[in-house]
Amino acid sequence: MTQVDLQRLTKIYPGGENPAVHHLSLTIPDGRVTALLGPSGCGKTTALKMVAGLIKPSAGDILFDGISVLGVPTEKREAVMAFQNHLLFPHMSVSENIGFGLKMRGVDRTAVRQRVADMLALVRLPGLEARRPYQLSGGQQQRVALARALIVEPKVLLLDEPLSNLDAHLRSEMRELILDVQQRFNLTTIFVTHDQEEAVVLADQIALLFEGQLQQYGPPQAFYDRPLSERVARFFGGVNFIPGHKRGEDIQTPLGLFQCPSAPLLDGAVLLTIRPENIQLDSHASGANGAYGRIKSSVYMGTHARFKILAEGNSPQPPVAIEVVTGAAGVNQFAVGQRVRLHLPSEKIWLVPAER
Amino acid sequence: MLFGQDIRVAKLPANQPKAQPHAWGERLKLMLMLGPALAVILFLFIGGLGLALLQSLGYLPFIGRTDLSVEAYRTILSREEFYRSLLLSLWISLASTGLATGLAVGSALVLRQHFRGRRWVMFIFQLNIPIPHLVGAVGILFLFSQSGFLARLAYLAHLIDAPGDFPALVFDRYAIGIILEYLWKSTCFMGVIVLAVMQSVGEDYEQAAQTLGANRWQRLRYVLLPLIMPGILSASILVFAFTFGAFEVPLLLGQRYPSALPVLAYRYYTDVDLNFRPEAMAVSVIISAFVTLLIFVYVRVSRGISRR
Repeated sequence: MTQVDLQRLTKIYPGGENPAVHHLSLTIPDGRVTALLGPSGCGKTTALKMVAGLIKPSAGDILFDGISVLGVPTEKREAVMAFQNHLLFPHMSVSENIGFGLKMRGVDRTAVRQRVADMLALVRLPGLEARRPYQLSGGQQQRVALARALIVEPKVLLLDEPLSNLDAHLRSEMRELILDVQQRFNLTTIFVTHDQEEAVVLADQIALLFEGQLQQYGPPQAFYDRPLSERVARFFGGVNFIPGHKRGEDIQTPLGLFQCPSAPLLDGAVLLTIRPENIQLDSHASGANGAYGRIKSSVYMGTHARFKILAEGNSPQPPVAIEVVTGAAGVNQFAVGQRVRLHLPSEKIWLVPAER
Repeated sequence: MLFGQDIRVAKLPANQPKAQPHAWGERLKLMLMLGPALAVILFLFIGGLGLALLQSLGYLPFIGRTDLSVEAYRTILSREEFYRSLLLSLWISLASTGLATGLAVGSALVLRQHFRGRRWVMFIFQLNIPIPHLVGAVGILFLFSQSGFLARLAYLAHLIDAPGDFPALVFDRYAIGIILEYLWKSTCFMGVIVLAVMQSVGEDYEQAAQTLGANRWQRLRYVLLPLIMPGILSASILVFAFTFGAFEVPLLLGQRYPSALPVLAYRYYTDVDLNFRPEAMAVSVIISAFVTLLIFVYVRVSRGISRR
């Protein structure tokens, strides 16, 4: 188990105008899974490769259990990386691929053979020792790549987009395998992904990066319930943003006055946000933290229904578009054109700074 | 169930469906397009080789010999000179191909790095590719012969008492001058090919090996070299075939006896006695057969590698 600390880690590529990674500081707890999440080109793979030692940082430090590893060469860093496109050595068999790391360490052949068999059993691929990589499916290649990384018992396991090359059903199998293996070995695991759903399912902690900069770091739930900015909220599927002005616990919006005691203590221009599934829809109710609106469209999604509602306040300002998700039965309960009451529970409301 | 019994084992590559035969019009079009190139190959290469084979079997109608026999082969295979020439040719080809391969791989390893002035170094590295071998041979004579530039320099620096004391690097029994000329030319040629192959392979596999604990040497030995081996093999087979069959450099820089096989064939061919012509052609056919055999072996080996 190894705790990884990134301290103001920065990478500027030669000729690059902006840093690929800028002042990235994270404490990655030992024995946990941490996701580096962000859109393409946000610097997450660069950060991962810096941890592996494959890219030299322009500034900052990387510490394993409090000791800087910047001077430790990649091959001695014990941070093994499994790549997005598996990168199994095409001239070697499955068993040679898996045993590669042990061979490089001079482990004797009999021991290597035994460990390879154990690893193949672990990743549920017994009997494929003699196959060549081109004779394996994508999912099998990914399992072999994982076994090849695990056999050397690394301090830190680095996974670069581990599921992105797999189709849907293989993804869920692989996801479960990664979690199973991670828990069994209690490995500090850092993985890179652009898929927020993948990050939420796999990770204990998520670090969200945009343009090389850390936007938010914390447990997955925080990104849904307590996003730090509109951009973070939108990346995690947030769609409802109502402009407002906060004074004390009151937020004045075009839809009326809302109260949210649990929201951060921001005063001034804010955006009130709430997830569509947290809004309660009613045909006649009234009360605080609510507004009236008219249903513009509805979509039946099988397990739930999604409504677009134009909500209005008492002021002469234009209506605000709000999305609401209800149970599947909602589609029979509410019709397009119907006037409804929206209730926004104060404990579900969150505020983010209004971006200018 | 987690994943246990639900493992799908990839099927081995199945036979590809057979291509539909071309329509007649399509075939005719293809033949017309390929015609000129095929005509050149048929007349100049196959035709020339066929004529050489006929002459090696004693078919020389211009001096009244039309009976076919393997007498010329029997004669040259019974001569010690032939075997000495064969050994010399093999030595020249193996030494120059082996050394050029090593230097080319080393150069490509350096040239694939990013460093200041890399474009200029690449330019200089490729500069001699269009220069003919003959010019290279003259350059070797000028530099390395006992009356050449280095011999005079060594004499002026009082390293030797007379230019004639300079070690014999040209017209010598170990064919050092010839090998140097081939190295000068082939290293860059092979280097460019190997570099292109290295760049197409990329550095990802080596990075994967590096995080698994492979040091620089292990990455070269177990990852990079096997991956670029098809490229190295094809480049080295080209160099070997050329150095085995070329005659102008051994003619200019080689000793009189034993001479390289192509020089031996040339000497027989230019002999005033036309009765030597079948032997000249027999040597040429043997050179061609040897190179063809080599290419066949190469194709088998490279197919084996790519199948892996």
